[in-house]
Amino acid sequence: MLKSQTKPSAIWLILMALSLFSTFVAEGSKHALYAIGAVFIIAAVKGDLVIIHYMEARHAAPHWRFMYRSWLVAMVVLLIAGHVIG
Amino acid sequence: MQSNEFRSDISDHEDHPGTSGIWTFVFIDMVVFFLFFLVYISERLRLPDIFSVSQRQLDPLTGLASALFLLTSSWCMVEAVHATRRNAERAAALYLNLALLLGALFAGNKLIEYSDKIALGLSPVSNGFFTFYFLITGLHFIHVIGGMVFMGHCRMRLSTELGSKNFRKKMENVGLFWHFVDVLWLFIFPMLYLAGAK
Repeated sequence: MLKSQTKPSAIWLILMALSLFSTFVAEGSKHALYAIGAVFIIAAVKGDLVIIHYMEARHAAPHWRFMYRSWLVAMVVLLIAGHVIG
Repeated sequence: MQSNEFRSDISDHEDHPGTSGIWTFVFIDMVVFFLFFLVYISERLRLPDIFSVSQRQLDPLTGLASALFLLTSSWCMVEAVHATRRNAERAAALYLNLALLLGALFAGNKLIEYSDKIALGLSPVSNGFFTFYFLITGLHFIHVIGGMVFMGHCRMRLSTELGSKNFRKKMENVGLFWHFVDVLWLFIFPMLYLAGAK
């Protein structure tokens, strides 16, 4: 039986707060590049929370945890680099 | 008989969530979406002004509402999977119903957004940005509908299959797919609605 160490409702609250915060940062910031970096890093943090706590990747075979987290890193690098270069 | 045991050993570890098949399927889907994002970024670098101006025609609050619907639906799905492991039928039914309802709210919100854009004369052939907008959100929408069909199937089988190992694995697999759909939107939302809009 898999045991959850962190309450899913606590993770949900963090995810909701981060979503609201990233929208506020993107819409309110006067520094566009910093805002872009912030919203994609926040997206990756949220993705990691979902993968580890909701998909329970911490209980899955270790190579899946590594590959899913690598995908998150690749996404952040692509999206930030793509917007900063442009 | 022996071959069945062998198959079970390699595909269905008791202590791991879901089956190795769903982890593989979801990862391949993640890589496919990564390629869509890669091509989006390359086109955005080629046509930055068209993309920035077009992004302003999307409402960030609509994208945010979609994110909040999916995140809350994901939480309900986690609770439904946990309830299934405890053989708690009423809790599993309640959380599956809520996950489905929130998925339907996401779908409704997206359909309203599509109809608004089409009413404004915006379509997949309007410009490069809207080609990606309709393509990426459309593929994601198909995933949402697929996830809801799987959840509906689990909801219908809940009372008859609860307690079996197969049903627990089925719920975990559907949950994994649904959370993946959620993770995709976590990137689609800032990429299309927030970052770089002028």
